[in-house]
Amino acid sequence: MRIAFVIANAYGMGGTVRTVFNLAEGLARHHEVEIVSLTRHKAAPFFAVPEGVRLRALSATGAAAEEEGADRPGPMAAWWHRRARAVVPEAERERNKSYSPEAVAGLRRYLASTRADVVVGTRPGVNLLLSAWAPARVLAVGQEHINLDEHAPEVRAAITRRYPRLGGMTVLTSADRTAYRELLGAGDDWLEVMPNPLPPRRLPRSTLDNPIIAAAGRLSPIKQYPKLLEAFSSVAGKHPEWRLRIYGGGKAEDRLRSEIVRRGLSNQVHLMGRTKDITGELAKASLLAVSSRVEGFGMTIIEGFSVGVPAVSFDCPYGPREIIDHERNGLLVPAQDTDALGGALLRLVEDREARVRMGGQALLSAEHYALEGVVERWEDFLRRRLAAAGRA
Amino acid sequence: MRSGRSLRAPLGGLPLEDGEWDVLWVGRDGRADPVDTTDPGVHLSDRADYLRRPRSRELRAIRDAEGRLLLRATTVEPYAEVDWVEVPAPGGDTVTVRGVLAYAPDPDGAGAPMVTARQRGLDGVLEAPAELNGRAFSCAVPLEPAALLFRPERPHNEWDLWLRLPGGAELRLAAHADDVVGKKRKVVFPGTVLARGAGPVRVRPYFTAADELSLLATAAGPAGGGAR
Repeated sequence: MRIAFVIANAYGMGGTVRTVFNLAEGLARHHEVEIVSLTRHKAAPFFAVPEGVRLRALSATGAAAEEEGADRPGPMAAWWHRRARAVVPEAERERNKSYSPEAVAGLRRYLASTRADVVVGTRPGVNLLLSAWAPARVLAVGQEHINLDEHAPEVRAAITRRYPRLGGMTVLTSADRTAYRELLGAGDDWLEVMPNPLPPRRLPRSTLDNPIIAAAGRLSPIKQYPKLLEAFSSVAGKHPEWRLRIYGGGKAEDRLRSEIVRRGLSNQVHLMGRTKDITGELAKASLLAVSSRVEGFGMTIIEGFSVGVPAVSFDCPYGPREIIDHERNGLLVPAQDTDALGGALLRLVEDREARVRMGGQALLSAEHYALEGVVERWEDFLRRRLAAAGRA
Repeated sequence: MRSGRSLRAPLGGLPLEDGEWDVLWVGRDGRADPVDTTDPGVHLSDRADYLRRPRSRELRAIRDAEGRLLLRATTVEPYAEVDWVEVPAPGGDTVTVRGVLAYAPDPDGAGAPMVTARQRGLDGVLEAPAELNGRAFSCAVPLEPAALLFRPERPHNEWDLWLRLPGGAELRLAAHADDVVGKKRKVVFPGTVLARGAGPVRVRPYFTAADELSLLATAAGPAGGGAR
């Protein structure tokens, strides 16, 4: 198969980019795989492009555009931009700034000329454009990395109207599958749960001895790190040698810095910034903490599992409860209950035996997300969808 | 020597230059293969033990992002490893620091231990008594002199902190043992505003780009307070 993934900006460092690169790496072993980026803001992508995968950008912005000396958009681009605005709701254009005239005109040209059998969109705006513009000879598949509930009403309305024209769609969790099934009345063949894969790597293994709790993810309100600080306080007071390392960057950093000071946690909380080796960093820790309001999937939980680190998480929608088997590979506590989160962290801080038992189970759980298996599921799904479209 | 899953090699006498060295396994047939490791490369309790002995070279087995075993050799000097920095409670004006001597011989000279703060690039020096209990130290650094000696022509007045041992050896206060490099941005300490001298001065502890502990004094605006 010739498979193309369309990403808003494949040059950035978000979770979508990382997981699509991983999936592309796995599919590229037996298929021709291309990643198409609506835009790029710099010369080289943050993550290394997997071997055998082609990356192309349809437009450039910022410094990347200045280097190229890009022209102003021509009248055709402006025309396609107006068409795209009718397809992609404003809320989505506000959330992601990649839908420029050059980018959407580039996507239109790309779709008209591509030799791909399958084109996979990776966010609502892209999926909507694929549903409107993909030619009949191409199977257009919509991949959703965000839960339906997180979409603005106008985005949901556009999804309801246009997604049924896609050749198939994938979501990250069973909960999201149920939500889309109710919204679209979609059949099970058309709508598949595809977890994000763990790429095969020589991974380290946590000794579960370092007095370190890790948390990872963008420093943004949805991760609720101030609540994690509150929960961690109950560990910090009793066990001064324990540390909380928070990996990630983002706009909520300033607020977090003042919260660390306010709670007197200066010695015990480290804002580690971004890392390219998240599993290497998680392996230095003995617990992973998740305090999110919503966790669309929970990739860091799986990454923690892959190095033998159990997770303690709010039982928030949607991913954690589908990944964490309470008391087996981690602990789930009622969402928003910071006392319970603190209590669960404290329990595993004080019980090395339980950490070791859960860490062992975590390693087994991680196998379910191994790239090879997920790639096979994708291959099956795409073959079935191609067959359903009469293009097998 | 290889036994089961572990590999032992005496490196004591080996003249390794500073830097990261690939570790290769040379088999009987002479073939050299890189050694992979699942070890995360950080063991905090081992590190604490490792600091106790006098050393001029630090050797560490680490893992790179691809899972290869590397050996990192670093020339080191004795320093004072900072475990804990206690910032002043509201109204207070001393920063208390606790930690352990690292890579230094056991202190045995005559005299009392002191903490010394030197105004970087300027001539200010302030001293205060420190305590030693075996290899553990603690000291309370008074902030008021740093505010009094504030030189407004330099927007940032840095004060570098040293522990003077009985016998006169001076150890820089620093935090390396937890393996967190780049604490300048990763650790956040609050400031204390002292209304002394020409105008209010904010003083806060911070880690330098080399993960050494210093104080930073800046002119505080009329609003005062604040964490940064």
